[in-house]
Amino acid sequence: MKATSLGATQIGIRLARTVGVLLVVSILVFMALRLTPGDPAALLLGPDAAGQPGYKAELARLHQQMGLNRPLPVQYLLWLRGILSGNLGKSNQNGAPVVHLLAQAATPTTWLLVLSLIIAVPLSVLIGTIAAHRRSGPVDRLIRALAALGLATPTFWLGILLVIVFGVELHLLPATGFVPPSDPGGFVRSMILPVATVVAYLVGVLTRYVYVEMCEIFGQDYVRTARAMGIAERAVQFRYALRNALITLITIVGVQFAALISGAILVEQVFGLGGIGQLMLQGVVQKDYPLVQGGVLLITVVVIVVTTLADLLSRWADPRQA
Amino acid sequence: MTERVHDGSPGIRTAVITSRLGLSRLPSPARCVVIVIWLLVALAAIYPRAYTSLNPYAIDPSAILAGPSSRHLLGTDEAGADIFTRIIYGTRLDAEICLFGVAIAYAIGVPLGLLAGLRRGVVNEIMTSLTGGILAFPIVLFALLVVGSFGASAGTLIAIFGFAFFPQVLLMTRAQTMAVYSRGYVLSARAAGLTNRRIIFVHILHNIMGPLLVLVPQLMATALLAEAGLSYLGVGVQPPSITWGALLLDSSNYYHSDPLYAITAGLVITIVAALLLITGDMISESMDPLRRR
Repeated sequence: MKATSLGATQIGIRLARTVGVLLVVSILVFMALRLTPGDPAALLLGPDAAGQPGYKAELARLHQQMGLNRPLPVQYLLWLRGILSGNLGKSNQNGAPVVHLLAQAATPTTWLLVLSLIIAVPLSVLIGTIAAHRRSGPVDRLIRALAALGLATPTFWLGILLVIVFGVELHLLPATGFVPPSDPGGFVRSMILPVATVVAYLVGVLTRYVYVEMCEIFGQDYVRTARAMGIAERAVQFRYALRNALITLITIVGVQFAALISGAILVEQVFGLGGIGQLMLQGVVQKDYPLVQGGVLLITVVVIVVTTLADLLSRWADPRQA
Repeated sequence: MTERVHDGSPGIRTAVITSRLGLSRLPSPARCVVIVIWLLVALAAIYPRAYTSLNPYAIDPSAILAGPSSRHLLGTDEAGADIFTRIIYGTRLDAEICLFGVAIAYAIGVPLGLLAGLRRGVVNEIMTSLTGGILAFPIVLFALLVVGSFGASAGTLIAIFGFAFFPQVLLMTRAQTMAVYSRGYVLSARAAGLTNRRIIFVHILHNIMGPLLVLVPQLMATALLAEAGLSYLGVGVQPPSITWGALLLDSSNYYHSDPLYAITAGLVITIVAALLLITGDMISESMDPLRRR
């Protein structure tokens, strides 16, 4: 596991590819919104403004202000230059800097994702290991049936069920809304149901892989050797098998991250957390170019960074792949 | 599938295919249950009146948000329309979206996958980047962009699913093609001087069809769940069209007064998605001799 085993060239190629993908995404996002009917300036003025005196002049002034009167390539390059200096432009709707809006909306989304992963990863390792250990027994079958059911359940509907049971019927927890962590009690209460929803989804996905991996590992030579050497069963499970299971999990989280974001956007909507998903939904409806461009770019960057990190990490942790 | 082929009598070939599909074996009880539920779902999609005589769009001011009764099995919605009827009538559009979406994914994915698997080199590199890029993009985000540009409708959803799912079909086709290509019978077919078209259709496509078939119900389940999510966000089908996802969005106004609405709509989605996944498992099990019991 030398540090150089990955190879500088390999990392270089990977980085070049990443930059390429980002450029392609930025062009696609930029074009997707502009090639279609609907003028954001007209949308901003509202349908009633059309036909009133001075409407044309007002529209032209807005176009100038939003930079929409310039040729498309110029608009794109200006936007790209802005990104490089950390400026994503201003929202068409309320003039707030897009960076601020995104940062604000990213808070609940990030908490939701991070807390869910922190809980779901160890939980699925535990459950998957137990199932693999009791292979073919009733516990194993129950766990696998639940995991399969988890795959078939729309995650956000699980959230709706939790809202109905704990928020509406029992009044135990708030049904919707995000409370910032500066109020720890309220924060925890507001996050329990959304996090539980995403955790249920993640455990359903991850347990399957842990299970398969563990079943395989328990039959491998080095585990058999460790057992024969009289190393305690629990130590075998957790020292030898766990490492391999974790490598698998890192890879899977990387591969599944895009799906996880999709799920999180929906869960946010169910619980009214006011995260990135809701912001983007608004932006799309209002044709708020700068906001949607910035949001898509941010999420794409996060997905690519996480995927690449997961890939590098699993290669680093697994001497066979290096 | 029973077309005449020169490298084997048609009878034998048909038998091979039917046994691959697990149809030659007597169905087990679990298989029967799955088949019966499938028939029930198909009936709901094709002839919804078999289940209900009510009109899903009928407005009944005398029964707004009524609870379950003998006339309204699951109660009524805000306009007095029967919820059970609406769920039944939602089946068809959902089925269409899933079927056509997955069909488009195959129409794009299979030819590109064959190309990547046979040509390799630069073509393969391009396909790898393309699929990697698409798979790394969250589908909800992609859908938001497309709907923002083209408007929300069942057709947009179908296009979205076709585009979002074809990379998986491509990757599967490519992997299978590469595996099959180096096998003895393809090598001997090439050595015998058969045309490329003949090799592709008779030898390769024929032998990779099994694994490709397994992917169909899986992708349809994914499409079903994604349809529900997107319609719930309001970027799926628009009223008055009915899908199960649209019903979930509708039901979100009535968690207090009629929680049964949201529960049933989601339950139907879960059951059908599970049915699709189980079917996929069954197909792959019946094709894998090692897993046959």
